Amino acid sequence: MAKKSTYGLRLDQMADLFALGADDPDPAVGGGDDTTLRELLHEQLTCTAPKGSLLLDTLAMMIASLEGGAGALNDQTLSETLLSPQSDLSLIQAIKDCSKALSCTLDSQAETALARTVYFAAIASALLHHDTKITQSSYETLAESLTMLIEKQWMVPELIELFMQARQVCQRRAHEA
Amino acid sequence: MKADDYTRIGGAARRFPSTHWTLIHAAGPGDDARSRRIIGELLQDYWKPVYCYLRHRGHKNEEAKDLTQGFFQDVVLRRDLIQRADPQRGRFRTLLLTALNHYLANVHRRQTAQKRIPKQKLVPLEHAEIGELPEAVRTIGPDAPFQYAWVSELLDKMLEEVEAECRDHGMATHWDLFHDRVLRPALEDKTPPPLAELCAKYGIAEATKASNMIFAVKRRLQGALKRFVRQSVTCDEEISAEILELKQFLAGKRQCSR
Repeated sequence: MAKKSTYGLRLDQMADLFALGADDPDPAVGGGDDTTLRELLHEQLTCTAPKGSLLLDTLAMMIASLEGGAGALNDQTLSETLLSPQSDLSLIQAIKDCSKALSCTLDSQAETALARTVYFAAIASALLHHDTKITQSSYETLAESLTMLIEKQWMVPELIELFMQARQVCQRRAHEA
Repeated sequence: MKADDYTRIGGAARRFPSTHWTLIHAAGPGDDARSRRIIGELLQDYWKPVYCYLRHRGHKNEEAKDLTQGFFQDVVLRRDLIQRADPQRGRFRTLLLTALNHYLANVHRRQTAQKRIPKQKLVPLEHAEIGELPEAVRTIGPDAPFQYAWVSELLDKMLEEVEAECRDHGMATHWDLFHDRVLRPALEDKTPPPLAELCAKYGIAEATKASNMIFAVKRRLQGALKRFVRQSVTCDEEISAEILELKQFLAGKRQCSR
């Protein structure tokens, strides 16, 4: 494949390429690099196009391989899908299943953490917007998991709100049981 | 360390790491063949930043080439320019630029490099025509063309080395996938193709496998960049600071001269 020099690229293009080598491709989860993780998570949640969103693209590919899943994430960000009451429950379920599978197979610890976050966000979304528990975990266990995520220094505000509301539902349901 | 023991970092033939400081101190008068080889090494790594800087200072192509040749001949062979500098006080690229400015102040431009330097001592400057410097670079500061070309060379070497590594270690598909999904879109300023398309192209059955392959290449890029940056600083502890400085430059921030 023909080699192309980086000379002549705009500064922002050069910066992106430099970041490939300069930035840790696997910022330590819990290792103090919260800003980088938060930015990564925000990027995954707000991208539609594949650019800069390998995790989203991977997830989309997995969902597309499911029956009826082709194009399910087209033109919508993960954030829009997870936070909207209008999102289809079967799509939320697919996001949950695929992100769980991703979190078990990715080599990158950072991406694994992001995939797990999306997994719980899907569960929280189903609980809040569809009044449906799509996990076999108990409400107590789920509330604990959501609390841990809320307390992560790298968690993004929009998911903190989602997790807090879902946790309230869990705590209420656990109390009612 | 003997001068003959050094080798460039990168590639299958690397033995032990050396820095450009050690290269320069290894050169010395009296051995034209060795000096020529060392100049060749330094020229390969640094001719472009020096040449770009000279072009943007107003020197025409041939004059800039002559001055580039002359600068490396004088900087290395005269050694006193380097010997006076304290490697503990600055990065190699900063020293190089300072030395270049001193050199330009002293050189007599009427005499061409071919007249002053014996033909057998000249090192061929093989290069394609230098492309246009982005306008934004000029607004950062007078040293910006040098820094820009420096970073460009660093990136080109990093990418070249990692591609070679991947191809040497049975990771050719890893590289090709990374190239199509990350590198080419970045170089050509285009949207990356969907992962599904690339998985089909390269016969990768699972999305996570593709994601992990790209991650593996990024890991190697991180290692390569650190190795190349290490060549131009005096100790491992300076690597992070140098990388940060270069990042700030790419963010368009004016840099203080050191």
